[in-house]
Amino acid sequence: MGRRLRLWLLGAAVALAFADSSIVVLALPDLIGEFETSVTGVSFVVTAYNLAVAVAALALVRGARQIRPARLAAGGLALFLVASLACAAAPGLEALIAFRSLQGLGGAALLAGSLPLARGLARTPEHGVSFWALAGAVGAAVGPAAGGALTQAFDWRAIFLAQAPVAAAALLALVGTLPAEAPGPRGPASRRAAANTALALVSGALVGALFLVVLLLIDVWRLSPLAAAAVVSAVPAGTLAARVLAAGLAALVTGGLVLAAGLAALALLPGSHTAWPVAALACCGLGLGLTVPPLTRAALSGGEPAASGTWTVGARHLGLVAALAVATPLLAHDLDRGGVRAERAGAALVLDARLDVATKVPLAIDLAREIERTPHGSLPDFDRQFAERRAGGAERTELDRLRAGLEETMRAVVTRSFRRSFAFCALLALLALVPLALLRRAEAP
Amino acid sequence: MSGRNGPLLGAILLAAAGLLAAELAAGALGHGAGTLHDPCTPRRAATGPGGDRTAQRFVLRGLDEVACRTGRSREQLVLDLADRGIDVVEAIERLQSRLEDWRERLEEILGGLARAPSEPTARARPGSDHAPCPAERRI
Repeated sequence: MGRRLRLWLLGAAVALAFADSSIVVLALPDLIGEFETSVTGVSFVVTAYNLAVAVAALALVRGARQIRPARLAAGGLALFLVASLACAAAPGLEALIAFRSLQGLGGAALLAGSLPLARGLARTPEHGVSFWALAGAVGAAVGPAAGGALTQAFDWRAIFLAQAPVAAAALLALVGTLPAEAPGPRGPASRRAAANTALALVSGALVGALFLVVLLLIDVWRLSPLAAAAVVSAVPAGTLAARVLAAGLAALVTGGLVLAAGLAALALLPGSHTAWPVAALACCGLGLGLTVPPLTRAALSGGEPAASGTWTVGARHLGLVAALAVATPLLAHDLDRGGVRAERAGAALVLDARLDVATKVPLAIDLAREIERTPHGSLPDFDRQFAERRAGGAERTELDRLRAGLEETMRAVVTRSFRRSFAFCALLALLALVPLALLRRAEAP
Repeated sequence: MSGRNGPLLGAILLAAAGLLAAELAAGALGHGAGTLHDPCTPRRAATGPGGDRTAQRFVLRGLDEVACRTGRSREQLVLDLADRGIDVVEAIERLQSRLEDWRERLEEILGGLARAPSEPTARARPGSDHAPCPAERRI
């Protein structure tokens, strides 16, 4: 197998390991249905993987030097492959969470070992780092869209099955003698620390663009996984578009600002037309593309490759888990309050509807029951309540008007409940500008 | 901002700022606020002919007055009442369902009682084709 093919297969495995951070997000509603669990319960399917990668990567910082990169990457990839197949066959939620944790352990070892390999396989070590960083950025951006497409086309289990051939092919690429990477010149540790801190904050900010927005589109706006995947694909499109821009501090600062603006735009959605989140997510993708690859390169330059790689992987996933730990309860709290506000707004519409009491009161009771039945954080589906009422002429028109008004009003009120969580993510993106300033100081002669 | 990226980066920043401005212009700040009418200030009465609509106007005005006095919105007042109302409706439905069960069981018992006199007699005299006497029927 040629070096170039090996490098590409290794890049595919790296992209896969980064994509797995968010790949199941669009399948969460299916998982809730199949395992009869809550949003909180199913969120551990996402958190378990990211937490396992973060903890294992940071634990490997010292150990990675003692293990040959090819062996570390192959071992990690093999564990990742087996755990992916186990996830696809998971009989219950607890088993799925356990297998996702194993997948995370494998992913951490793969990412730690793959960086020195990429440096050795590429034309130059710098090219290898750039390739590894880009694979990671694209993988993270593509994750939700790919998961959504697979869930819609097949089943959530297809997400994990589809990973197996990619992981197996990459495993073949690691068989045989691989070129040893050449250690580069040592650089200032402060520069790497600043870059890793900025990466952790940017990864935390991306929780808004990769996780929260998916919940909004599927649970509140009721888009199908495929339609939501199409909206979310604005992120990888923006990330790839950013490739035409040369890296530099100005591009980094612009990226941080554009990412913050994209997240602020998600916080300020003025309607339920998908053009608004598409535009906001394109900004987020541009921000991701302008910040993550150059920051990753800065975090990896001048350090011992295996150790600096594990620091970077750990920092990124730790930032993501920490942001999830804050954003999830914040969103749950705001959804509670939003639910009460939505109920009141709906009651106002029903009270003012031009319907006879004989229609209005039983309808109101049915609607209230449907709201009680609806899972926490989702919008009630009033189809049956309106469809089963036999009415004609002006009364049918008024019923249709009321139904459309209820859906739009409740959707708008619940969408607003995401505002503070998106704003929190935007704040993280702005905070990433602080270590960027330190990075500039570290670069100064 | 300098170098060959400068104009492009500036354009990206402008586009992002433009998106935020467009959202604000489209009413983002108030979107989904779910603002309710203050029950203490008069609202435009819903129009419509007939006794039904007149009764509704009367009830809604009454709700506004109670809501204003209790410091709640009219909608919250109705939801609080509806919570109890649904309990009452469900209790009535449960009672109706239980009454239905009782009625069916009662019909079974009465049906059984109606059939009861002839069966033991027939079993007591296998092959007999004459009608039982009133005394036997009482037993």
